Amino acid sequence: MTALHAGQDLIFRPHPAYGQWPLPQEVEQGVLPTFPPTRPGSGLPEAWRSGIGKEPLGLAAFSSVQVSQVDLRLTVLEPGKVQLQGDVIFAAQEVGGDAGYSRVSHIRTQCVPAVGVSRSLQSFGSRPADLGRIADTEQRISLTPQSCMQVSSENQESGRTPGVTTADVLEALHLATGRDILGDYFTRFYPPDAVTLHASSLAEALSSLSAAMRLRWRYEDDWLQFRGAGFLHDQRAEVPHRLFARWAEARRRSGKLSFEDLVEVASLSDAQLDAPGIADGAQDLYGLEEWDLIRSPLLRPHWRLLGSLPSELRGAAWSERGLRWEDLPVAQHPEFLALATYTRQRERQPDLAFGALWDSLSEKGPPAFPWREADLPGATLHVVAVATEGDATDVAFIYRYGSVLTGFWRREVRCDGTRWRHDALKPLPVIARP
Amino acid sequence: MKSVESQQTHQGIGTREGVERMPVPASSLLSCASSSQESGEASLELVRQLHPHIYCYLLYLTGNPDTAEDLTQETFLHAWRSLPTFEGRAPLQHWLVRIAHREFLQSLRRRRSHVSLDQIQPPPASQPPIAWTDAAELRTLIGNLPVQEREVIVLHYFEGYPYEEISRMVGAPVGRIRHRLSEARARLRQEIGDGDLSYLNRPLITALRRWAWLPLEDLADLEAGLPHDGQEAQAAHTAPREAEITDLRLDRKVSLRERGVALEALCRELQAATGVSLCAAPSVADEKVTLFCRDRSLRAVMRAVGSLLGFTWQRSRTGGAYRYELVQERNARRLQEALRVRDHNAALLALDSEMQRYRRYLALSPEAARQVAIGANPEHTPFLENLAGPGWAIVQMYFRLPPP
Repeated sequence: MTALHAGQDLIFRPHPAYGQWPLPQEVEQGVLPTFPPTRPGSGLPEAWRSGIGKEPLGLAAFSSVQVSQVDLRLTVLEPGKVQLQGDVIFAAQEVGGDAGYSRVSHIRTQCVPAVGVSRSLQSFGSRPADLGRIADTEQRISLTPQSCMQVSSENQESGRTPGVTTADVLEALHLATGRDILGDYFTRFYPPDAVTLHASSLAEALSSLSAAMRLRWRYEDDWLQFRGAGFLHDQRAEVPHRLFARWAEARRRSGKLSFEDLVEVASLSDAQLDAPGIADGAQDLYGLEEWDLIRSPLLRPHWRLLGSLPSELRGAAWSERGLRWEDLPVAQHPEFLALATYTRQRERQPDLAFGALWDSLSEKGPPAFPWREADLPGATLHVVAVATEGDATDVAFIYRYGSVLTGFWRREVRCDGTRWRHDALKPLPVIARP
Repeated sequence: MKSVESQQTHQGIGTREGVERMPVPASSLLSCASSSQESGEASLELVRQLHPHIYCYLLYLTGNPDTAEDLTQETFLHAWRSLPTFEGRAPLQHWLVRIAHREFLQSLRRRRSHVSLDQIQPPPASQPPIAWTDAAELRTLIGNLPVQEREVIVLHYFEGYPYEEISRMVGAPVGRIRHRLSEARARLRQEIGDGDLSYLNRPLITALRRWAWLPLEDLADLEAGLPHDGQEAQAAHTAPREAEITDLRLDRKVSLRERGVALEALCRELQAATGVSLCAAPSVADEKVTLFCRDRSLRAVMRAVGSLLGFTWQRSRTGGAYRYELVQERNARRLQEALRVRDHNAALLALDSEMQRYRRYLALSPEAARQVAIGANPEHTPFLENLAGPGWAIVQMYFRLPPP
C-alpha cells in the first residue's frame, strides 16, 4: 500500500519478474470467468485495432486462456482528488491462430471528492466583505468576451466556436466596469456562452464568472482580483510563455517545428504535456500543430530517449544510417531495448539493470518476441517524418536489428495524433531530414 | 518618513491613547442649562471644552478653516438650543459630533442641491496651513481622502471614538465604519510610504497574507512548523531601517493592458514606463497575470501583484537607484509543497474510505456479484458491477495489500 500511495504501479503476475509481485492463485482462477470472449486486442480503442480483427469470438475459439497480469495504480486527477485504476491482462491462444493479449482496463473508483485545500478552493466566489464592498453598486453590465484564438480551418468546418481565456473575460469585464483588474493566468479555455452576461449586477456577474471559470475573487485596494481555484495544480501544468513564443516563432519561420524543437517540447513534464488546456493553447493560440504528435503517450518516451542523448547522436537518428546501438551510451541501453520491444512505460523499472530487463523481456515477454541479445549490435533507431495529407506530418520511430537488406523483423510505432498503428510496415518514404 | 501611527504619536494627537480625556458629563451641562444664573458660565465652559474637537472634526471634513469655524458655531448654537431635549443617554460630545455631522451635511446641501458624500471632491492641495498642529503634510494627506474616510479617521484616531460610537454618530453600520477606516489607512500608507517594503509586501503576518486566497484555519500551524531561513531573518533584521525608506519614483503612474503576460515581461514593461528597475526572480519569472488598470501608481501595481500571487518584493541598491525584485520566499515554496502533500494524503484517506464500501462484497465471486447486482440498492450497483467483471481481481488485490 505504501508503494501504491507513493505513485508506483503494482504489477501482479503468476510468475513475477524483478519488481513484480505474485498473483495469488485464487485471484487468478477467480477472475478467469470474466475473460471477455473477443479477439485478443479488444482492450485497444477501436481506432487502433485496424487489421487486428473486430469480430467477437466465443470462448470456444480459444485453445487456452490465462491471466497474465493484474496491475493497480493511483491516478492523481488534481490536488486532493485521486482515483484507483487497474488492468487485468489475459493471454489467449486462438484456435488455429496467433497468441495475443487482451487488456481489460477496469475499476475506476468513483471520483472521490476533493479534500483539504482543494475542496475549499471549490467554493468559488469571494469573502462576504468583498461582496459588501461592491454590493451597493447599481451598475448593470453585459459581457460578450471575444476569443483571441486562431480559428483553424478544422474549427471553421466543424462550426466549433473557439473558447475564451480568463484574459478575454477579464478584459471584457474591465471594459464594461472601468475597474482595475488583476488576475492570474493559466492556459485554459471556456465556452463563450458560459461567460456571456446580459444586464447583470456586478455581484451577479462576479459570481457567475467565478463559477464558470473556477475562480475566486476579492476586492482589495480598488482592484478586482481573481485567482484560479486550482492554481496549486495549474502552476505545474502551465508552460512558460517564452517557450511557446520561441517555438511559435520557429514554426512561423520554417513552416514546421524542427527536430530539435520537437525533442525539446517532449522534455516538458508529464503534467504539462497531459494538460488538455495547454494542448489546445499550443495549437490554437500559438499554432503549434505538432503538439499532439509529441504529447502522445505512445510517442513521448521515444522523444525523451532522443532528448537524453547528445545532439550528434540525436542527429544520427534522423539520418539514413540511423542511431546505432553501439553508439548509444550504456545508460540508454535499457530504455532503447524497452522501447524497441514496446514494453509499457509503466512496466519499466527505472532501477532495472540491463541484464535483468533482458531476462524479463525474453522470458516473460510476448511469445513472438524475436530479439536475441546477440543481435543487438546491429540494432538501430530511425526517426522519420512522413508527409501524409496536406501539411500534416507523421513521425515514425523505427527500431531495427539485423540487416535491413535481409528484411528482418522490425517494429514501428507510428502516430499522427489521431491514428495509431502497431504492426510491421513496409519501409516508409523518408522526406525530411535535417 | 514615518508611519501614520508614529507621526500621530509624536504629535500627541493621533492614537486613541494620545487623546484620552474625560467625557464631559451631560448631567453637569444639563444642570447648567437649567440654571439661568449660571447659564452664561456653563455655555462658556461647554464651548471651551469641546470647541477644539468639534472644530478639528469639521476642519478635516471641510478642509477650510473659515467654513469649519462657521459650522462649529452653528453646531454649538444648535446644541444650546436643543439642550433641553438632550436625554443624556450618550456622552455630550458624541451628541455634539452628531450635530456637527448634520451641520456639515446641511452646508453641503446648501451649496449643491443634490449631493452625496461620495460626490464630494477632495479639497485642493493648496490649503492654508492650520494653526493647531504643525503636521501640515499629514493634514494634507488626510484632506485628500474621500470625505467619508476622512471623517472616520478624525473621529477614531484624533478624537478617539470607538467604532460603535462613530457608527451612531454618522448613522452607518459598524462594519462599514471599520471598512472605511481600513480603506483610509491603506490610502494613507500608500501616500505616506510607511517604508516601501512594508507597503509593497503588506505589514501583516506574512505567512497568512501569502495565503489569503486559501482557507486560513490550518495554515498558521503549517507555517509555524516550517523552519525560517536566513533570508527572511535578514529581512527582519533590516526591517526597521527599510521602513524609513520611501522611493518616490514608485508614485509614478502607469496604465496597463496585459493579457496573460509573464511576470518577467511585466517587470520589463513597468521599467520601461517608469524608469524604475524591476525584475522577477527566475523561479517566478514565468508566472502569468492578466492586468488592466488606468493611472495607478507603480507602488499600487507592485503591491497588488505581490499580494495576488503571494510573492515578495525585495529591494537592493548597488551605488545607483534602488532595484526591485519579485521573489517567492523559500518558506512560501515549502508551504506550497506542504499543502500539496497534505491534500494528497487526505485524498488517499478519502479513497480508502470509498474502497471500504467494497468490503462487504469481498466474498462474492464475479458471477455472484452479477446476480446480487440485479435489484440491488442503486447506491450499491456501481460497486457490484465493478465486481462482476475484471474489476473483481483489482478489488481483491487492493484488499490484500499490507497497510501502510
